[in-house]
Amino acid sequence: MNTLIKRLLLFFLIAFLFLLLLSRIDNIDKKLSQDNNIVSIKNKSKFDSLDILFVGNSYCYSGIIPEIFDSINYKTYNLGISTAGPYFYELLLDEYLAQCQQKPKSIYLLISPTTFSCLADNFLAYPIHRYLENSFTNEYIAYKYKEYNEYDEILQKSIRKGFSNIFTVGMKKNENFETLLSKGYCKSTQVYTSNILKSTQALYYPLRKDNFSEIKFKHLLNYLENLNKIRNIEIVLFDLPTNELKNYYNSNFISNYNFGKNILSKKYKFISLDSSLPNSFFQNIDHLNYSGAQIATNNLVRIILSKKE
Amino acid sequence: MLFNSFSFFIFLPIVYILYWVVFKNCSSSKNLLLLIASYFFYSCWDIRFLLLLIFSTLLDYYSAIKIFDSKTITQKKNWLFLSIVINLGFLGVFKYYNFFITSFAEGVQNLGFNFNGLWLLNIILPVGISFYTFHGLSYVIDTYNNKIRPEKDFIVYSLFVSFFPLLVAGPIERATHLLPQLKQNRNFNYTKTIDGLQQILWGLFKKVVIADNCAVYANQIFNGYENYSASSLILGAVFFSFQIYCDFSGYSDIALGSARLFGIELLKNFSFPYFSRDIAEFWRRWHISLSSWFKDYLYIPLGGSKVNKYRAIINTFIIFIVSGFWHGANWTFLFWGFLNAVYFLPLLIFGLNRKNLQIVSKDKILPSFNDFFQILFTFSLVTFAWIFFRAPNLSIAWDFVKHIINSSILTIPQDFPLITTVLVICFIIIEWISRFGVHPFQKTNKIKYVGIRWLIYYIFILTIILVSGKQQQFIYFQF
Repeated sequence: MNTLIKRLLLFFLIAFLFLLLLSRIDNIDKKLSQDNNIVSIKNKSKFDSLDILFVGNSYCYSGIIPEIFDSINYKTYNLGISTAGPYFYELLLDEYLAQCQQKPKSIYLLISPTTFSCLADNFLAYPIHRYLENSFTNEYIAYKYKEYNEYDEILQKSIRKGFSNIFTVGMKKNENFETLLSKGYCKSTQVYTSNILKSTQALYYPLRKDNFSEIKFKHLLNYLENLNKIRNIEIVLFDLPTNELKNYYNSNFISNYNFGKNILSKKYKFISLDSSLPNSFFQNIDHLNYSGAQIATNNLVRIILSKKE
Repeated sequence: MLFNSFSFFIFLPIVYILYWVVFKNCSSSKNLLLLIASYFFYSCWDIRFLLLLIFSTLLDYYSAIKIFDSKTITQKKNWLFLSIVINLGFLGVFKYYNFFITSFAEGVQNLGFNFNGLWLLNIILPVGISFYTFHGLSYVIDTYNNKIRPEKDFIVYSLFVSFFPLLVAGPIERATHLLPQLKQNRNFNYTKTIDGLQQILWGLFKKVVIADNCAVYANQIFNGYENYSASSLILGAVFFSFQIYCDFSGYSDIALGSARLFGIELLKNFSFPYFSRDIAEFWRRWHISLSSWFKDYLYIPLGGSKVNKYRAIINTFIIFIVSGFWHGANWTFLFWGFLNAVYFLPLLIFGLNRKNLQIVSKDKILPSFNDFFQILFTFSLVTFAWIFFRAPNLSIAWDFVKHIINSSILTIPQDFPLITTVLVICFIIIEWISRFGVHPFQKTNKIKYVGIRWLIYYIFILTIILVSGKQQQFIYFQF
């Protein structure tokens, strides 16, 4: 029995260490990655002394065009990351604020139903914690955000990536990826059609059973309070047109979301850009295309200027 | 809790250590521990169904004692009848009620009558009900036939029904085989433990690497068969054949391996069925515990082979159709059973059903041409039948078959899954090499150097992690 236990421990220890090592080299290609989320994270440190830092999910990177703010001499950067919710916001902002020489005057934080979805902050699909300048381990993230159920899959993904990196990282070329994104904005000229609806609507069906995450909501409230009071940064919340998104959520979720949004808007400035736009301003069920982004960003510029006056 | 889940690989070592370290000297404590662990394992699905399991256990435990104590044959029969009716009653309500009522309504409507207001039950099928019901039935029937004496120790009997490796998808155990093992003191055995771990690893490989990857293409084809060429449909059906085999036999390997860790040997459930040279051999090698259950408790009571040819044919059809129906309440399963009976018929008529009793190409590296074509033919028949098993209803199954009969049969399959195909070919080669044993890792025991043995295990573990398909539930959990 003792022999067996000793051998098994040794066997699994070697296996565990080897797998852990593989999982740690999953991000060695981050400087060469062409993924727009990783490019966005990587480039954020180049944008310092900002007037506005936009933080949000994919609605943010497809809906806010920083270049439009150049015309009013506002320095901005769009730090939109797919599926971002309160946990992603915390990781991204903490790193950005630690890196920047001069903190931004304002942080504009996107709020949408998906922000407080249980499906938000998808560390499995978008393991951004591994691609930050000071990356976090999967174990730390699982512990910090109680993502224990997803941990095995997140680890497995890291191991796979680490293994493939051994063979592929030397073959990747360092290209000028800054051209891929324009200050974090991800341009799409696609126009929403019934064919796009047909081919993508199944992806949205899980939202029907989705629950509003109170834990994430409270996490964001606490975090924003910290940013606002301790770090003394102006926090502005905003939303964007999301086309048919709300039709996919159940009524309970939407009423909880509206309730939560109400609480947030009492504590912080809230700019609502959510207006009904025709399909031609969207690229799919819920994301703005370039025309839609121009309208939304120009509206935001107008509101900011009017408040300034 | 799935066998291929992270939680099971936390659960299993905890139970194992408690079993061999904490309760190592007491057989009854070991049984109690295994029973508690098994109930915990089962309640991870739905704790409400635990009550049903306990009720079924109590019923059979008490019935067997009453059968044994009965003074007259009538009393014995009454207790047996009561147990069978209640057991099958539960199975009927949970598994077949909705099927019967909708089929009846459809039948009545087809005759031109109006039938409104179906009383359908909105219930989910308790996991493993078909398996533990058959455990219990075999025990009660064996007691009635004086093959065994009723078990007085309720913990031992409950463990026989609920032992977690076999609880949700078999193998369907016999009291005569498992109860004596549970009653005797089990001592730690290093070789058996290693063998158990090897079989778990092989089972995981089959399930996670082969079955789950085959499932991706098979699901894609079966869900949109109208849009695919005939060659794609054939490949989809072949992949489903490997999916269902590796899924179920992989589960059985993990079950057998896990049980062996606790010093318990379960019945073998699969023995390289796709190397069978005829359908009779296939059924001696596929889901052995179910086939032998039906043979012992249905086929032989019906007269078995000791009846005239006409009666033997009817018995064969009954066995196969009931076996199909055991899998689920759908006409597809009934037809699948019927089709297998049709395949079996020529062998029965010409007395060839016991022709191939040994594993193919014994003491040879490669099969002869004759063996090879027999294997290929049998596999084709089995794969054709799996189409009906996999399809959601008979009309879709027939439509699928119609789409196969097409000129595009000679084209390259669409969305050809190269990696999965390579994996399946590697799997066939490994199975072929190891067909004289239980699992391929038995071959590694002959390797002198520990480092090389471990390297082989590490390669398999790494393959499981790197190449695993999207986690799918075991197919046989639905039965």
